[in-house]
Amino acid sequence: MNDNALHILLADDDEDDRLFFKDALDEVRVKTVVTTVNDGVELMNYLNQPDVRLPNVVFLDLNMPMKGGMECLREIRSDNRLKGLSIAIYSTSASEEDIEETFVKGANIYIKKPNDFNELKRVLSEVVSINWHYHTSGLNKENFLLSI
Amino acid sequence: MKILTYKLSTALLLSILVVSIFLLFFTASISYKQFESVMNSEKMVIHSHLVHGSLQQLVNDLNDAETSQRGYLLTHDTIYLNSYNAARVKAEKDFAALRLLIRDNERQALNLDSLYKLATERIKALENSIRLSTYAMAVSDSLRESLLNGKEVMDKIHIHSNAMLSIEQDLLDNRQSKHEKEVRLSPLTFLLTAFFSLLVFVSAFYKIFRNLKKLQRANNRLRINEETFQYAEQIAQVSYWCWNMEANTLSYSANQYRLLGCEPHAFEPTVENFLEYVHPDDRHIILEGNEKAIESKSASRAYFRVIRKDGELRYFESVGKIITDNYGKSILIGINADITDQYIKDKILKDRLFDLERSNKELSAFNHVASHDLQEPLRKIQTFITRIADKDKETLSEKTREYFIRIHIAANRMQKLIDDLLSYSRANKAHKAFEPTDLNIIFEHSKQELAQMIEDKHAIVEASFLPTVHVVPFQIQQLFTNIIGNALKYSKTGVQPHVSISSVMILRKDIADASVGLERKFCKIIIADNGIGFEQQYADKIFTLFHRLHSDDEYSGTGIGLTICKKIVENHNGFITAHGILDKGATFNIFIPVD
Amino acid sequence: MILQQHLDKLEVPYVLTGLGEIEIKSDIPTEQYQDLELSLKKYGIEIIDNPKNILIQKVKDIIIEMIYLEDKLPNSKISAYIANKLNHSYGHLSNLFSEVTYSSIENFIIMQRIERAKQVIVEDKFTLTEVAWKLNYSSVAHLSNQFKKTTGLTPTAFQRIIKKRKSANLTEES
Repeated sequence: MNDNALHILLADDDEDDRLFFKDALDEVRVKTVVTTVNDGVELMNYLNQPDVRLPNVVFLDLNMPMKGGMECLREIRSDNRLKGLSIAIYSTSASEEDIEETFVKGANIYIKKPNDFNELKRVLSEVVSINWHYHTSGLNKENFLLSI
Repeated sequence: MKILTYKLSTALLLSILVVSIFLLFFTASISYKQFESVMNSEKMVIHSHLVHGSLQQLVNDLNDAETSQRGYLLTHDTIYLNSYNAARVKAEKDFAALRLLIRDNERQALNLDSLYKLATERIKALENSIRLSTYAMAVSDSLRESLLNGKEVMDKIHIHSNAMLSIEQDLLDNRQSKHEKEVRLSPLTFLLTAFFSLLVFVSAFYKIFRNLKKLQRANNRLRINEETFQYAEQIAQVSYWCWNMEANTLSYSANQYRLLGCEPHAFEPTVENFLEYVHPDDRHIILEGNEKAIESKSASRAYFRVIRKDGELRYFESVGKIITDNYGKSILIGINADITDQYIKDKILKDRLFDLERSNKELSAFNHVASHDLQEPLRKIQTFITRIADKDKETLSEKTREYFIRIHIAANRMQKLIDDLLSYSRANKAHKAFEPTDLNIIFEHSKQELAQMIEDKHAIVEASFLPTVHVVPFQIQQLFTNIIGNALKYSKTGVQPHVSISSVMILRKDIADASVGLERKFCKIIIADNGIGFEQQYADKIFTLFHRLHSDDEYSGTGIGLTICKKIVENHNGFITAHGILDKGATFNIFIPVD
Repeated sequence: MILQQHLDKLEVPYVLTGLGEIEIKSDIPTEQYQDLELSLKKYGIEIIDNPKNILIQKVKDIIIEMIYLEDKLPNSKISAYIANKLNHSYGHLSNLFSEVTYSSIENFIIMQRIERAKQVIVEDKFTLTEVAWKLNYSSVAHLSNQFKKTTGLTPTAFQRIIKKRKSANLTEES
């Protein structure tokens, strides 16, 4: 269990955010392997590679050029092969309505990008460990919703 | 105004006329008949008189003959012979005349024949006597016999003629009385005829008179209407036109000319003349409008521009409709209205509205984007700061660490401010869907959202049964959570916070605070707490943007929360008021209109 | 039984010692073991052969059993209950649990409870009060509180989202 690292994929167009993300995950207890892409197009290309190892969790920024987060969400959820992915929306704040909307559209997790690095570590740790629990304890993925 | 319609059809009138004429002829013929019989009876009377007279004349003539004969017999003077002959001839003539007169009466005719026989006998006797006397000087026996015979015959003649006379007399009397009767009847029938004619004439006249009066009254009313309408036309700047399509005659009200800038009846009312005043580009609208009205048989509306005689551009509205007049003809009637003033006002309003909407949209977009885009760099600043403070904690000096903490706090504050501004701009967004929303569910949800705070402060948050109202659910949710959250935030230390919510339906007239809209009925939601309250003089201020009653050290906050609440309530055409008693508590009243 | 089939195929001697527990009598060459692991994985069956892991799994099983199979669960006595059942001190179990799973037993319990709550809420047969009672929460507020802490959403919001998802899926399929 702790031998298996969790594969994480982040799609974010902001360089600083990608940096934060990687640094924070480094300091989280759960072992992770992080891949980052810069926008939605790259993301879908990555996921649609024929023999790619699908990540355990995809972190998706909403405001990306070319292809935004919501569009990617829609595409992933309508693709049979990718249906089972855990998707975490990783974005700056939105209204409760908009957050609910992402859940309705198929996201599992909504993360409001924190403004405190420690907070970021905590959040990512939480997300990762909960995801891992879902992975290992056979919990119902359909009901997996988390808003942080 | 009632339009008097005469239900008498032409056919009915005609038949009445025919009957009247017939009756008139009838009575006239009766009168005529009467007259005729009067004339007739008179003729009869005259006839009888004539017969009577002739008979008498005849007897006289015979007497004359007799006298003459006697004279001759006495004197043997030929004078008497001549007069005797004359008398005899006259008698003959009389008989002829009588025969003529009496020929209609058979009985008398027979009598006359007998008389004639007797007369002839008499004459014979006379002649005989004359002869006898001529030949002998003395009165012979035969003469005496002849004379006696003659006398007997004469007596018979007298008797006979008297009988005839009396018959004729009876006839005369009869005819006389009949005549009199007729005469007496005549005036009666004349009277009747006259009376009947009079009746017919009088009733005809009466009817005509009544109708005339009605017409006059109707005309009068019409005239008054016309004048009023003319006046109204001018004031309202409308005019009417009337187009008899079959006869192709067009008529305008006086104001039509005025609306075009001309004197009334300045030109002949034709479609072409009118079109001269219509803006060239809009002329087709008139023609199409007319066609549409003709086809659709319902009112059709058209808008077009008119260039008045003085060159001024005006905006017109025209409504046309087909009606059928009393003769069954189709008439196109219409109203032209000069709506320039209204049009201009509308245009100004529309333009202003457009500008306002555009500026609102821009503002909203600006607000949203600004807040959103401000957040990104700010967030990063904060994250980097916390990273540094965390990672290089040991290497930093105490002072530097403290500064970093303060930077972090300041940045947080800015973050909160931007968050609230973003919230505010979101509350501003219009066009949200209104739905029937159960406020009890909203309340429950708010309690769930504030569950942590409620637990931490051991607060009691309760509500009486709340109604379902027509609102935007997310916004009302925000409203409830904000106000209840406030109530909890500003609770008194050491006192168990108690927040209670109730509602009541209230009519506009019962609301003390002014500044209400047009709605009549409101749902009043009362949220009361036992917190630190506030001074009533600030009751309005607390809703202003960024206005706070406390410093950030005492109670954290950005001063936007209540403004957002106010915005949300205003989005629903309602309003919100606050009442506070310092150190006792506060009550917020939310008024949402219900229809 | 798939497991038995596979073990028989590999001609591995084994004994069933309990629910989900098998003791393999002899040593299996690594290759064979890996094959077995792989083929079982296809069926979602994972082999836990580490004694620590086995214990952790047992703790998990007990908790899951408590929450799902019994209608009313004992809250305060859970620690004692588990400790007794597995014949270890609660402190030891607790430490072990944290070490392996990176989360505490309490957290796991809460997570499972909320998981169950989600299940019941989605079924939409009970009111929130009934759900709270069923899962042995002292009040709806308590349940809402924990639910929100764990998932970040209120139970009603959660219910709403699941409903919307379902109706969206239905319209998609039709």
